[in-house]
Amino acid sequence: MLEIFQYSFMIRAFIAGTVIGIIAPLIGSFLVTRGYALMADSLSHIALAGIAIGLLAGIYPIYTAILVSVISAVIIEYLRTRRRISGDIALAMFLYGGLATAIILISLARGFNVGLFSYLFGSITTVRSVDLWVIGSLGLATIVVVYFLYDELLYISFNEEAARVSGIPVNALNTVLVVLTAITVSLSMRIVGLLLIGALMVIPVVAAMQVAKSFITTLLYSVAFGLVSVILGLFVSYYLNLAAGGTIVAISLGLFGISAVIGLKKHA
Amino acid sequence: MKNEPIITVDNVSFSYNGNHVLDNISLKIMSGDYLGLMGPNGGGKTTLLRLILGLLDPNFGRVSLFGKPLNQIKNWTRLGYVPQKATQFENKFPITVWEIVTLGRTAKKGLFGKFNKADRKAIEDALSKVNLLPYKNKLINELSGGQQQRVFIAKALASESELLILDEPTVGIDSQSQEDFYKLLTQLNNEGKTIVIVSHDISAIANKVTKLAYINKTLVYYGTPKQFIKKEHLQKLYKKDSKFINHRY
Repeated sequence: MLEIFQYSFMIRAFIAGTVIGIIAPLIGSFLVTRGYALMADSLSHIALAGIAIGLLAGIYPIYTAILVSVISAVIIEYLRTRRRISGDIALAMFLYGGLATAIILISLARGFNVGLFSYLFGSITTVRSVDLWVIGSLGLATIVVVYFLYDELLYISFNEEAARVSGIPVNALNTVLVVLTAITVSLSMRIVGLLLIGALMVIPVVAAMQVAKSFITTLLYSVAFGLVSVILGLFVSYYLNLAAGGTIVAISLGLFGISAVIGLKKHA
Repeated sequence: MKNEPIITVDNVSFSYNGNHVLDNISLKIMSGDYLGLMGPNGGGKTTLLRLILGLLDPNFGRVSLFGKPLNQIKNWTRLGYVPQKATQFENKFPITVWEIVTLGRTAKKGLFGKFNKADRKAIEDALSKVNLLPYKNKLINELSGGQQQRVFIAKALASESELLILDEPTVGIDSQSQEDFYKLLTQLNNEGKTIVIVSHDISAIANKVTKLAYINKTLVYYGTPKQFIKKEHLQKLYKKDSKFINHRY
């Protein structure tokens, strides 16, 4: 057996990473194609406020992160569909609001900076069994929901208005999508960190779009690219002693470069 | 089936930010009609379309589809809507012809459901009807503008809707493809589909449709296209006058 698998923390990191490598691009596919790529990034900053609340109150921070980001996601979506404010403004307001809240809470309770850092940048050595249970069960639930609502989610990403006219419950499905995004963001922070989770939801999808010949293959390629990025990233970071989150995203950018070249050659 | 009202617009008025966009419009579109909904840009035809589709609510009056007020309609799949090409999709959206046509079937199969054999047959038939079955695995942005528009017709046909509503369907399409496209619509109309086509281009559709409604805030004309063309020179005079008056404000 490889030396890397002698450590139980690495095995836990690989299990959690596999789930995240699947669900981040899976949800990302429905966001990127509709020009909603920054949703993940905004929600990750909001999730930081949830982490701070959890650390401050002594509650398991992933729970508070999920709670805060899911509630915020629902409010953002409500504001967007009611056209009270435009979608990108709603995202920006919540992004900065979340960050400001997090900073205030951090300054209130000096002393948990180390814990907070592990969420900001990811920390594979700290993945515990409880994390695996949460990531595994919610990750599986996310995959099941996408499987059963695939056609409808594709429709609202492709043309929201036409979907609405055909009688599809667009508002409810949009809410499902942003809730899944919030959950994915919160689950992924242990591995890639809050600051880079948006990258794992976006870059594998954009890489897939360079070479894919349909929506379903875009989705499958993006999941493959996500998995390769996470698994290769964990190996490289372990042997070269690099930060896992950064390494994973750098590899996904490398995959994007390769697929962009292949895509260009195809169209030439 | 024949002569059943499909769309009833009853004394409908709509204002947006204090501007009267539509004033007291009444229209009845019957089963088997092929109606051109025309008018100048800014004359309110897109607004009327959005009211018919239930995307906007009228300030006054009411809209019914298939004899039912819009808010009581459960089965929206009886209506096939083809939006303007410009708003159809992001050019980079990675989706095939087949995948787009499946969308026309999505509402029909129900939430959480999967497509079955009958669905796939309907999708295939719709693609054959518009002569695009050999292109089913192509990405939509690999097709010409005219072919893309036929894909969206196939999407509407896949839902087996009785009513087709098309918004400016031939904008940016070459004239030969436009001719083919109108032939297809006439054929569908002859097969019993009710068709409403929104356009600003009178010369393009006046000799295709069987009925014509001209909207410029109010319903200026509603009748056969032949009568409308006769009256058209009068209309031009009238429009010149109103422009002249507008200059004073």
